[in-house]
Amino acid sequence: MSKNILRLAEIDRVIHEPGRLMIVALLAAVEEADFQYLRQTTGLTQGNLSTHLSKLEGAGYVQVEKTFRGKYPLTLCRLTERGKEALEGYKKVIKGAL
Amino acid sequence: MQELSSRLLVENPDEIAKRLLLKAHTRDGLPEMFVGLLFVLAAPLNWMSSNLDRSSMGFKGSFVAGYVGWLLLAVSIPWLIKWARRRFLVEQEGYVQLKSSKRMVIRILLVAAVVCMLLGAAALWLKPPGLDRWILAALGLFVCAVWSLIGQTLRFRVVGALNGATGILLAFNGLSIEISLAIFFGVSGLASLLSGLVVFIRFMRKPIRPGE
Repeated sequence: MSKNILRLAEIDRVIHEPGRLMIVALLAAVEEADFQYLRQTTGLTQGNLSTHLSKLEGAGYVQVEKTFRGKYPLTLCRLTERGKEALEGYKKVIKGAL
Repeated sequence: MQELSSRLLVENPDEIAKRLLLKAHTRDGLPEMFVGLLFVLAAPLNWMSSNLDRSSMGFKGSFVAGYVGWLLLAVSIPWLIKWARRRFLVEQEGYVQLKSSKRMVIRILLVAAVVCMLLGAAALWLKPPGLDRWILAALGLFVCAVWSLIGQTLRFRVVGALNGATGILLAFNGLSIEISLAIFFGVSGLASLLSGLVVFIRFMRKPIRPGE
């Protein structure tokens, strides 16, 4: 079996989930986004998105900051350097396997 | 959902992000409305050039001012959209800070639109025989292509096709090129404005669910 296919076994399972992959891919493409934007754009439910963000934050891939914009509360999310490296590694594994 | 999930896991994350961002950017109809307004405002500029005395200072002054004002509006659109979203729609849309490279793409597209407008103006002033008709047809096809590439949804393709068909039909009819351009920009602008307005109304009717 090809070495690249075997590498699939090492794939980052934190990222390799459709909901979390969408979140990480989206955050990699922007500077920062808030919870409402992520929910609207990914189509995930509030509960699902919260769960995925908690997992990503726990893995150190996403930084979550609660702040305000005027009177409007924002939960800002950004991809950390660790998250960016994890995503690059994930892309290499997927590209190699496919 | 199951099928979408499986598909996502074999896609390049960059492509996933591009699609999601495009969907997010066009979900409220604001870009279409602003571009539609821009085109609608271009219509009287072209009409002026055929109905006013070109040698008069009044014409030259208002024409130049109109074009400069139009160009300023064209390059300001990304900032106007961003301002409108952050000022009025943050509860519905949420908040995002795009990377500067994305803003560069938007600027490039706007510059392309401005170049089209300048080509149209050059055709009006230089009047090479027949070339202005082909420029109008090419403009219609160019706008069609831009809409189809930017939107990638049915409504963008429909508006794009309308632009292409209008450009070609007007290019080879008996009307003067100035009137044809005015009609082209008017029809294209109205189509885009209406399409954007319908999307905007539907977007605003969605219930606001509080963020976390």
